[in-house]
Amino acid sequence: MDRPHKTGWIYAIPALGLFLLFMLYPILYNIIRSFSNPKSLTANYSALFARPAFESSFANTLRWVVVSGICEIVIGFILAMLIEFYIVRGRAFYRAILFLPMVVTPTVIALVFTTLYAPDYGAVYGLVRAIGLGAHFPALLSNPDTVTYALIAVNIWQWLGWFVLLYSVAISQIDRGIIDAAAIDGASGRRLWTQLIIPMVRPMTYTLTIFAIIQALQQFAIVYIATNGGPGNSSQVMGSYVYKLAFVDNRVSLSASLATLLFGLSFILVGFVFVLAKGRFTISAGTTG
Amino acid sequence: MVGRIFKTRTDKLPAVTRGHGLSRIGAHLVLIIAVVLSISPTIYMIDISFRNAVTAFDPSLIVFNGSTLSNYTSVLKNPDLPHFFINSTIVALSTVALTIIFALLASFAISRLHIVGGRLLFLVISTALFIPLASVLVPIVLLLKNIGGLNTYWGLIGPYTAIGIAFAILIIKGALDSFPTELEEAARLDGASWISVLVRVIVPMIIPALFVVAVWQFLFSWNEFYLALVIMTNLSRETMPLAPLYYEGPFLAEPGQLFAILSLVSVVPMIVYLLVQKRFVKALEGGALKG
Repeated sequence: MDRPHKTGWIYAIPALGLFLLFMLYPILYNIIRSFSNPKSLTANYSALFARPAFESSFANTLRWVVVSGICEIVIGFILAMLIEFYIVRGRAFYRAILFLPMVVTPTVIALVFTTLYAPDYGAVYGLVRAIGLGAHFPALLSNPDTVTYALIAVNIWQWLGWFVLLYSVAISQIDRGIIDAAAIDGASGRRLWTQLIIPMVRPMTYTLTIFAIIQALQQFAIVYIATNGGPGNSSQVMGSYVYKLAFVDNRVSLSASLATLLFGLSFILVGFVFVLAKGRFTISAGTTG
Repeated sequence: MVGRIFKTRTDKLPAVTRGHGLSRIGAHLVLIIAVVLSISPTIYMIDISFRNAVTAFDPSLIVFNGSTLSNYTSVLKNPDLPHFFINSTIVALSTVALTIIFALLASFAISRLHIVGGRLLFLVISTALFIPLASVLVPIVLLLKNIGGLNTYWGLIGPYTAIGIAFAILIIKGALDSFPTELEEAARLDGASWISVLVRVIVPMIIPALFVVAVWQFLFSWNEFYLALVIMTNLSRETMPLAPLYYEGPFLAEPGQLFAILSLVSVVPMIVYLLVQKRFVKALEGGALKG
């Protein structure tokens, strides 16, 4: 049975074929196109770097990865910890409600938050006015300094439930007897956290970190709908700038260079976490056995 | 090794936190604040969809008087609305079916038939997990343009399946690797073909994994916007996430109607979620944590 099967590859052909057609070919196309400029090998890249919007989209993408990732991991862990260690009844309720935003269409979310954030008629303005600070309400989406963070907040709002759920599953699978034993042996609350619980959920932390990185690099819909990268290009991310270069500015070769950089950035960031993790990951969905 | 210190959950709290009544109330308070923040935008959306032309601009989270159904009656009159719904249904269900079939066959070939280069194949396909959509989007559109795939269902179903397949193989192969092969070997000795072993013995064992893949892939392909925006440019082929674009401009003076559309777009994924969430969580919990 362990002998390699002669015709087994037939089963793998559909999956491999789709991968080659819609993943590998596009990546190679972008790489080759980005380096084929009649002037010089790197002329597309120099032209891309010369555009101010590039710097803005690159910096914003890094902000998305760092701010979104850290908030999702930290808040997700804290909420999951509260659910698993302090709540007897209602665990399923909390996890289910917090997860709900995950399933809402991003275009819908973008328009709902555009209205929520709106000065004059948005509900956030309404709350600020109710506590008497209406006159100081910032127009979050039209201020270049706040717009990216306002959009990152939307993303955290949407994805937090996923982090809570997966951390919650990871924490619930720790044997409580071990924690009890450590507590009886006199381990303080802080030592229980830093030396027992956090290390035990570390494989999940690595998995979720990679998840957060990829998810932040995927950004398009919320930025495109809520601000279209504006005001100016102040909320542009690499995902939305690829679209603008290719379909609005008609600069497909520049968009291919940016797409290649985005691909490279993803592999560097994810590769870095892989090295840190040394193979300790957890991805699971069970069998009925 | 790590496996031994994990076991199934109990409903008891650990000694370290047991009996701290005050901290339990505090935990509930924090979680209730989180729940309120999490649910309010959705309630706000539904509430505005029932507001009249005047209260629609009220900066309150919820307006109690002047509710009306007229926003829904006017948007439902739009003859294009069923197109969005039908297109999304066709694309999402086909994507789920193809992703599961293709991923199952590939996982089976790698995990059970031990095909030559199976490990390499798994690694190569897994890299798709780390490829942002924006970094493959434009070539996909150019490719589909050349082979007549724009504004066709398969023009979306193909890339969606390609995107989902890496995650699907990761989950399904993981499930296959985690249970023993005795039953299959017995079936093989009885003269069953590989295909009948796959369908009759293996599939029933990994239903939770297939379920997770189906839910994930359905929500992804129902909600996906970026590819749909550039591939479906013909109104008759557009999917649900594109519907709000038609109401955003002309209906900005009528937030009630825009929000009625937004609520209608959200209703399918929310119902699907409410129907499956218990089983979905159970399937995630059922998987053994791998150290």
